[in-house]
Amino acid sequence: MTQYPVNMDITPVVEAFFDPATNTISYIVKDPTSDACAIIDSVMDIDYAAGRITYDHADAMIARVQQMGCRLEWIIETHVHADHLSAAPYIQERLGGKIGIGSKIMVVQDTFGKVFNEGTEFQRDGSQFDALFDDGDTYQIGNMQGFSIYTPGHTPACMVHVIGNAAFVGDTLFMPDGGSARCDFPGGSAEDLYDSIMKVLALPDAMRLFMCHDYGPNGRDIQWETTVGEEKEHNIHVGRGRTKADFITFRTERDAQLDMPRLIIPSLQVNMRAGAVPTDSDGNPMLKVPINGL
Amino acid sequence: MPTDIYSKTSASRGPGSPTVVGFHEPDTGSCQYICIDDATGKCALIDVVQQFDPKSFGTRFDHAQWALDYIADHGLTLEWILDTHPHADHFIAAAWLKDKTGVQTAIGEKVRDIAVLWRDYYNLPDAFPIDPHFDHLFAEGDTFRIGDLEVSVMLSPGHTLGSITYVVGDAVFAHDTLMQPDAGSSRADFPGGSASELYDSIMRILDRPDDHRIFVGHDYGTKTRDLPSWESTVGEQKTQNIHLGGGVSKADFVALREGRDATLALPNRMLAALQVNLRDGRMPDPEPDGHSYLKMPVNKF
Repeated sequence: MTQYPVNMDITPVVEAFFDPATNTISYIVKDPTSDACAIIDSVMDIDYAAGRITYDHADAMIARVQQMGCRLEWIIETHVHADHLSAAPYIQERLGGKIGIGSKIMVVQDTFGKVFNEGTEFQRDGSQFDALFDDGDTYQIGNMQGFSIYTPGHTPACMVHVIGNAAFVGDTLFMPDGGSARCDFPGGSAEDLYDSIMKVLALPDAMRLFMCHDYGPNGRDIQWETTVGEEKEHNIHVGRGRTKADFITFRTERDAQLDMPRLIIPSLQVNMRAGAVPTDSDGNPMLKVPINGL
Repeated sequence: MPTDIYSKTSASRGPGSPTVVGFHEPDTGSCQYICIDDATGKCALIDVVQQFDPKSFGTRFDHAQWALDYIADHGLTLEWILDTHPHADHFIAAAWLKDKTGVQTAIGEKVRDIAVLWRDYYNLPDAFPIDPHFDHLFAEGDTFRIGDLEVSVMLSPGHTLGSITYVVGDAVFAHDTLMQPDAGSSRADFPGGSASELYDSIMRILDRPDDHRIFVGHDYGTKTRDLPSWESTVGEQKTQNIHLGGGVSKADFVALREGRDATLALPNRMLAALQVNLRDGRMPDPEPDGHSYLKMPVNKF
């Protein structure tokens, strides 16, 4: 098992930006000892019926980075999201920073390159991103060291990013009363997700965990922060020693009942291009919709 | 046959008057019709829906199949597959119905002009040749028969620039002009739409005798009415329609309609639907991988 360079002595400043349209939580992660920061899992707004793209959510994050006088060093995607569109290139144009994602993005690009019948101009080598992370890779945000943990299951390219005592779990765990992410998209695996969650739960109990999604189960207010200790004790899907076999059965049965996410088709096409909107041969922004393809 | 499809029959009022079976597609609130000549057993289908899930982009034909089963079970003969306009909120089932039955399809001739608008939105300059896709393109004043029933065609622009109303004896298939009296009228803000033209089209429909039956294209229920309904009379519409009743002036109607349209979101199937409906309900030709793909223009609306 990979030895990860955990350092609980660093406490990054974490600011959350909740997007009510997709229940996504984006983060600004700031180095308390310098002006460096990173943005994790940004969101581009889309009125799907009209095909209209806007940037209110990203603009709010950009304004906050500027207001703090911060330098954006990284724009990190925990994975190729299926339920919202990334604003990474829009943010990069305005604030700079490198766009990074897990190196297994190539598997996702290959799978969905086929689903959307992409031409050869669509590279399946991850070259749309500035950095591709492998398991255990480290990077700097000012004086803070971040590292990535390979956590497949929800998708084959998911990574959890750990920066000091804060871990950004993407779509692995949800809040303890929300459980875990679905595993039924192409390339997903409940077995892999269980192993990935175990990697997250092997982090120190005091590690702060920041969710990518929260849907406010049972009518409670939206929340996004918990700890490894809390998840181990209370997670409704994996806590208290539930066996791997039980988890897989439960997860598979539950996934069979779920609808496709409303935005899966535009999300995948945009996000596998690092947030760029595809264009037709004349350069018009144009999404492509496979009929009976999903 | 799916048993959960809600339908209702409006009986013939005698010779020259059709029996009308209405059935409702709840996902889009669409009202679909079988228009029957009792004397000959001939019938026409009007505005039948190809169901379409806007999340997974899967299609189904439960309602079209229900209609064919109804026709078979009642010993009827299908003579026409009719649409009133290229709908923005659902896919038409015309091509599928034609493939199953060999029966002729029809829509209004001004759909050629609607295709011009949408070629531009989709950046498909050579797409949507209308003539090869539909067997008949009707103009204002054209007539044809369903069995012994005489049908006349009225051009009814407003909701789209090429919508047509089929008038079959005392039955008026008014599609997206009027809605039920307690719901008002259809929106007029899609490409080529016009609230002013919609008003004029509605007035022509309401010029008909007070006891004529009006069958509308959509119903979503209301706050006080759960079950869909789709039939009214000219007289009821003239006195009770919440957007028009009691002699609302054209200027007032246009102001009301445009004000309301400005608050409405686009239907969540519109960008997908037009490129299918302008092809008679057929999917685009498959790409070399054998699959059909729709185009979804970004930032055109």
